[in-house]
Amino acid sequence: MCQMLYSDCDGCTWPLGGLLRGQRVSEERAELESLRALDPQAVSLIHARYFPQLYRYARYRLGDPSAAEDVASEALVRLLEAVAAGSGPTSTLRGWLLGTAANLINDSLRRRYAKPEEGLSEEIAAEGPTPHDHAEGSEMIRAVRAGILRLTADQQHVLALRFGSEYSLEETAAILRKKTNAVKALQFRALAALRRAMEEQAS
Amino acid sequence: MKRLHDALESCLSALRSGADLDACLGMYPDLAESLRPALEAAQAAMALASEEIPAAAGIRGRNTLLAKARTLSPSGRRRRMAAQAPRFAFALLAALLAVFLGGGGLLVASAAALPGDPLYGVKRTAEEVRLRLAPSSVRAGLEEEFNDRRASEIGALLSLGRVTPVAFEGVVSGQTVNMWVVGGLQVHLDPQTEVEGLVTIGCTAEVRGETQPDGEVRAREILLRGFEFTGAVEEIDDREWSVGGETFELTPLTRIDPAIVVGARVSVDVRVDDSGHFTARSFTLLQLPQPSSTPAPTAEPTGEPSEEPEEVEFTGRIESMIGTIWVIGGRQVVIGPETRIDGDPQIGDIVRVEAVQQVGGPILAERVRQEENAETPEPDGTEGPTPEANETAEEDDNGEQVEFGGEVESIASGAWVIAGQTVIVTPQSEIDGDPAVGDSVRVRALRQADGSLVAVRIERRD
Repeated sequence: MCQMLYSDCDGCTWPLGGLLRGQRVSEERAELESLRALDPQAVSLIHARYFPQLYRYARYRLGDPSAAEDVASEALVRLLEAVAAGSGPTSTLRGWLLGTAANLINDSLRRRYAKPEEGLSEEIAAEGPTPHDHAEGSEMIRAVRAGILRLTADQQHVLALRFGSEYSLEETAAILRKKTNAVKALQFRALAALRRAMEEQAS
Repeated sequence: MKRLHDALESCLSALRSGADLDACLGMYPDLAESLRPALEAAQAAMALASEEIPAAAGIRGRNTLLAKARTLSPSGRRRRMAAQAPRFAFALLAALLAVFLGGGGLLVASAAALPGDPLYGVKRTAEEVRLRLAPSSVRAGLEEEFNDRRASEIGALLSLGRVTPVAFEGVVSGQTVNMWVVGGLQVHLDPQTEVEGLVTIGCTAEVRGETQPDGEVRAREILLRGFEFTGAVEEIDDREWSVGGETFELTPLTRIDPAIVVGARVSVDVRVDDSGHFTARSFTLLQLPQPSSTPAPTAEPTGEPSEEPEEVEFTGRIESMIGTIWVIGGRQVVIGPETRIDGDPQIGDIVRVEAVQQVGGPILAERVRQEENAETPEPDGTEGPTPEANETAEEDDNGEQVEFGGEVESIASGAWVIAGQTVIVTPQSEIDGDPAVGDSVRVRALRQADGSLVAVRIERRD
């Protein structure tokens, strides 16, 4: 509801434009500082702020709600471990967490791909629809889920950020550490590939 | 390729704001063939999003993380308890030092402060300063971020079992007699709780009260702060718009979908201030007006209907020019990058339009030629106001019960406009036949002392 309607129009500034992005980075540094003490308040605040973002991202890529919960929790646990060990993010906390979640998902998908008996997209397509799938139209939802799993990791990443987490182009570029034009190109390729994958799935 | 990628991004923004696929493609007719597959995939990709996160998943995740923090802490809980007083002293010292050293450290020191903490005032003051200094284009985003932060703070207070005065805003997602859910938090109401405004499920409300050790917030007062309103646009003005019988003020921050024209169905994100005033935060297009409902007296369409793009020529007065969508002689015309504009046409001018149109699709202008400007007075051929149709009113014996029929003009959470009258709909109101905007209904209502109508029953008439 609170999104700007046109992220790229002349004169429009996305809410996370330069100034705010700088402010957010300084806030993330403050969050990291407070987290280093492993104080329950700071830990609770970090969880409240980032768990939903991580869950949505993982849910979008994996489809499975319990796997998404595991990924979101594990990414935050790894953050605590890294911070306690004196390492962890140095610039963007959100970028670090989403990058960790992406690696966890890639590992998970690699393990699932290693199953010799059936392909992953067929496995997903054969799974029963979740209640959410029922609400949205199970056939189409399952086709999209199966299609997403046939994309490259980069393509999944950009679609999960833009459509799963609803990040703006500029936010996505910051997380991916790419220029906005590169994100636009990657997004176009990802959508074209998704469309092809869905068509192949249907035929 | 860059233009194609930019066009895709523009179309995605338009899709998210409610435009349909063909209207988006109409903005880039030369790229439509390449854009269509990507946009169809995008629509499918969007359908996967916006799923609620199970509350249990969040609680499990937080408990796991807190347990992990305890195991990672070098000397466990005892050390932390012993460190409470020195840590506060250290924080205060750090804060004082930070003031002398320039203030940045103070903000860091206060970042994790919760309501009731000594540094919480510093945190809120810093937020207030940021809000005041922020350019208008980022202020709405900041407000939203700070509201999220309030909810996180209260979640932390509740998990710590503290009793602390709090104030926060959130969407009302549940209501029983003495327990509401606001912004995902359980809010307890007692007979002393004051509720200001018609707060129903889906509205945004501000809760003022205090956190309780049992994990809920006890509300002292609850104020209506925002709601979603749906209706047809009746009038567009620089300072205020009329939608579905209500008037909404615009602010410099109001976001407007440029495709909206008079007659379109829109969703208004309404903000309610302390004095009960309505301002619009955004207008989102839901549906463009049907061509049949806006006849164009001066239009002269040519050509036979076919599957091929049809050439269209007509003359009409420019009624609105919003973004790339102009309304000319009652018709919506898409102005593309290739459209040739002759003269400097403005609202009110008479222009000749040469365009193409797919069957049932938008009119894509190839050329717009100014024929007569608005300075030239001309008899106004517009129709008068829509006659009040189908409306009768009757009262019962004691004069408090009112019945009337009419068309549903808008439906917002808690308030409908029917035949020009605002009717308050409460959970006790009986709604029969699932009426929607545009349907004809029969209303039985009770007129309150202040003149407002509270619906007893609204029944759709087929």
